Amino acid sequence: MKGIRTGPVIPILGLAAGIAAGILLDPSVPTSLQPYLPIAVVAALDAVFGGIRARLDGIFDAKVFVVSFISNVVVAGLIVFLGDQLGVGAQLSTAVIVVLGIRIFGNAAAIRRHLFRA
Amino acid sequence: MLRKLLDETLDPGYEEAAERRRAAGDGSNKSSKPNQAGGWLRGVLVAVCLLLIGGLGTVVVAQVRSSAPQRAELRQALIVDIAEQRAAGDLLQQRLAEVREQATRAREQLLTATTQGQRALDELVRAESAAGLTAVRGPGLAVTLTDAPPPKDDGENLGRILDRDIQAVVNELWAAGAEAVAIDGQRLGPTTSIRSAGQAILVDFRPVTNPYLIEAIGPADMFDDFLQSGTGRTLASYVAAFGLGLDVRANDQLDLLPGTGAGLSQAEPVGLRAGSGRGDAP
Repeated sequence: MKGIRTGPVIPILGLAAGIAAGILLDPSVPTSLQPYLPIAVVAALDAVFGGIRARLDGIFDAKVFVVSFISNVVVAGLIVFLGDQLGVGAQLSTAVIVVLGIRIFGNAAAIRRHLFRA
Repeated sequence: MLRKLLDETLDPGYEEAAERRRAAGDGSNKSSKPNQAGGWLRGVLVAVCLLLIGGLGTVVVAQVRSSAPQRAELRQALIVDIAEQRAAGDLLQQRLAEVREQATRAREQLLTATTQGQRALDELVRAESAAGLTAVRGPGLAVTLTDAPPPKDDGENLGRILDRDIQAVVNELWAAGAEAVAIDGQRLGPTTSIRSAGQAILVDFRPVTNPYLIEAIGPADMFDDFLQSGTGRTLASYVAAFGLGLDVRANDQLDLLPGTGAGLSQAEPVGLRAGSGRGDAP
């Protein structure tokens, strides 16, 4: 539980800075990458929720978080890319979203239990 | 596997890392606090990751937001285009009808002056009505085809009227002795096409819509002939199976508008004078 007090300030600042940068800079994404972005975001969300839960469980590890974030995004992108090449891109995207969605829900439930004890 | 997926929502890596630290004798629960030399760096790494995530999410949201109205705008522009072009087409059609009527009147005035001209005029009128270029009136049949109501479960509507249903009806009506046929008020000429483009059915490249009214002027027995034909029976079975609408009514007096006719650009009429028997065909 110490994790809560040791300040999630830097990560939250990072998140805020990212959102601000996204709004202010408004970078244009190459068209070839566009189909993978939503999947990448969901994969990243999974890593974030996993990280928050680990923090609340008291077993957060920065290395695990960084590696899981990067690999999540890359693997999700790769699966969708492969699916596109095989002609089942839409179905595979759905599969990825479903699996990640289940994990996000599970982690969100664990976080909720930590925070509200319910 | 599903159970594992549902139960183990947390990345096992965290558990393992905690295990390793415990094994290294670091103590019980301090692990959540970056207490080693690289701790600061790790915090920054996490922050950078979150920065990336925030940026990524924002970009995607911005992208989706900006592309949605664009699509709607494009669609609206296309709809306006279609309406404009259709209005222009209607106007041209109207103009054509006017000019044609003027030409007919002028022709009649000139030709009725002489006996030879009168004969030529009679022949011309016969030929024109055979080609569907004149408005006609007479007893006949009105066949109405209606799409089945769309299924409740968003599935494919098997009871939708297709271009080939209309083609079959029209062919059957011709076969039953129809002399003039119109679909939704659009007269069929010698080169009229009935086909579908996407979801729409086009008669001579102009869309017709549900319910499809097919009117035919012809002999009295056309009614029975049509209902007992293969097409009539097939359609009746479709009514039972898919719920589409089929309504056949005999009508004492149908009025059909003139058709636009075939614009001949390559074909050259041969022996207009010689073939006097030709005009007799219905």
